[in-house]
Amino acid sequence: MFDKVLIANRGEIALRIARACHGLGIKTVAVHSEADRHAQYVQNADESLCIGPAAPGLSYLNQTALLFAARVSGAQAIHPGYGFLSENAGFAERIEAAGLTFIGPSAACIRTMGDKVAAKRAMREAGVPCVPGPDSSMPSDDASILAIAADIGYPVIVKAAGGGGGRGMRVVQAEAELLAAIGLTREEARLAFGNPELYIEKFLGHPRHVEIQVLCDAHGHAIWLGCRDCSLQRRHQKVLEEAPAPGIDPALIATIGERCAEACRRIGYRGVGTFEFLYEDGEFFFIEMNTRLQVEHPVTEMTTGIDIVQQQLRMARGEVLSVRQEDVQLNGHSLECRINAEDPLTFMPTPGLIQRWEVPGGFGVRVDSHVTTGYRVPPYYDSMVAKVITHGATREDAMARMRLALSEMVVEGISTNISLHREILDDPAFCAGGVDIHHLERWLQQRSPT
Amino acid sequence: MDSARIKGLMDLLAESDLLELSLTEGDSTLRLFKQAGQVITSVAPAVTAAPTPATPVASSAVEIKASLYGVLHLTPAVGEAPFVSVGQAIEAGQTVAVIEAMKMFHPVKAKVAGKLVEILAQAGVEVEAGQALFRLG
Repeated sequence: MFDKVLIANRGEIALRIARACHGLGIKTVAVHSEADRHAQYVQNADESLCIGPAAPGLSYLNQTALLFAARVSGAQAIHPGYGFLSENAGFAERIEAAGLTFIGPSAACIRTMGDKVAAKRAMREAGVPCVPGPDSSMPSDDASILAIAADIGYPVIVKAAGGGGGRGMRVVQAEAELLAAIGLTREEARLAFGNPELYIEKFLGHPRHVEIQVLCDAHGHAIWLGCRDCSLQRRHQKVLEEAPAPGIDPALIATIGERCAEACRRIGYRGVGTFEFLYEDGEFFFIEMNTRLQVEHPVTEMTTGIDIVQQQLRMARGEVLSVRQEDVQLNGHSLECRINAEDPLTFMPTPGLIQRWEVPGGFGVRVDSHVTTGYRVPPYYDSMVAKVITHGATREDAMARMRLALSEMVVEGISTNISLHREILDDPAFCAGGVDIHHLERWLQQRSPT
Repeated sequence: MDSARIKGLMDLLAESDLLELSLTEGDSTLRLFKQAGQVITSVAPAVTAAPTPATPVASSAVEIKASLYGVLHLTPAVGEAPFVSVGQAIEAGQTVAVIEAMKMFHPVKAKVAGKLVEILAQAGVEVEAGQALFRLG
């Protein structure tokens, strides 16, 4: 059982993981690039080590440097956070081969879920509903491909098996466009993912993005921790998330949640994970599984009272899951606004020196952020600088607290998208609940430039 | 060091996951380098640049400035030829560099035509918004 964890990540999630470790009495090793050397969260870790230059390819993605840092510091486990190497099966294997613990599922599970066709097949076998379309790779002859698409019915979407997160896909409205679209997508997939394999699915016109959080131990136990709605997206990037998804029958969510937990038991999944679904006209359709901790995990923590990162660490330590499904009580509603260093109108990134940083507080308000006054947002990484999370007895309570929290928050020196979030919280459609994944982009196009 | 020894060290480096090997024996030193497999080697397609204010001042009209804080790239991708070189004629609207900020690549364009006299910043360094990058003559 490990008592020292190397955190192979940066920013707010590195701080979040360090807090979970310290809460369990586990020592932390912060690794950082030269650009993050002076960040406060690095100083707060029990130990810190520089693993390379600012460019992520030479530091946070440098597997050899990370493994060497673990050896030098005596850390027995590595937490990958999200992004970077968190869904890299080869990295998980190298960690285990070095006799250390990868805080996440097995490399085999990461690999299965990383191949979207294999993932879909595994989910069908476990009884998880999937988007209509075959769960096998596409045949090579044109006639068979056309027959598959005709069987699904247009519009269809052509996707790369190695894709995910909104990359490597193309919508086809009619049969005449299909073969040309496949040729283009295959070439893009070969270049972007090194895997030209494609598959075809039904294209849903107005779905919501609803996902199920799961928690599993290494002893065959798996539970689900409610759902989240992440439909507010811009360019496939989530902007604002909430739990639970408004207006969906809890009994239906429970049925889907139980199937996700069953799928985890079948594939021997360990740790935390998320099943992402499209939800349209009362039906759930599996799209992909994220085999890692997610950015938006706090909204689930707020509504279940379960510290997901502490649980993740305990599962990696080999503990038996002490929470049973019937112990999971969903309480109230939670929202999370991702605060990014970007212009709220043009979305141009705005790295630079933060001269003033005042975060909101009060009942039901949580801020997860690594930023302090005088922090310089580096230009090398993701633009997210904080997550503002509120909780309330009802969705209206959570929204009212979020409006207040956003009005209290002051950031000077760089532009942020706080004003965009304030506008979203005043949008009647969002306030009514249940908007689809295209709503935010439509809304952005329609809003008059101010 | 004989050539067989050097060849042996080269093979050792190739098989390992090291990127660099330095060996000193007596008064001779050998340094071997390998290209990192994970270095980002391509530049994403250009996105719309932020509107930049007009620059009526005469002295700044011949300088091309950074539109935002970020990392300067003078080549479209690692190992490729630079966008522009000193002595070259630049057209108005031509991309002369890209600035990388938060996983996005923003083109730096010349507002006016002219001959490139001097490159004022090095590739790979952080540049501030408004910093002069190129001088046109």
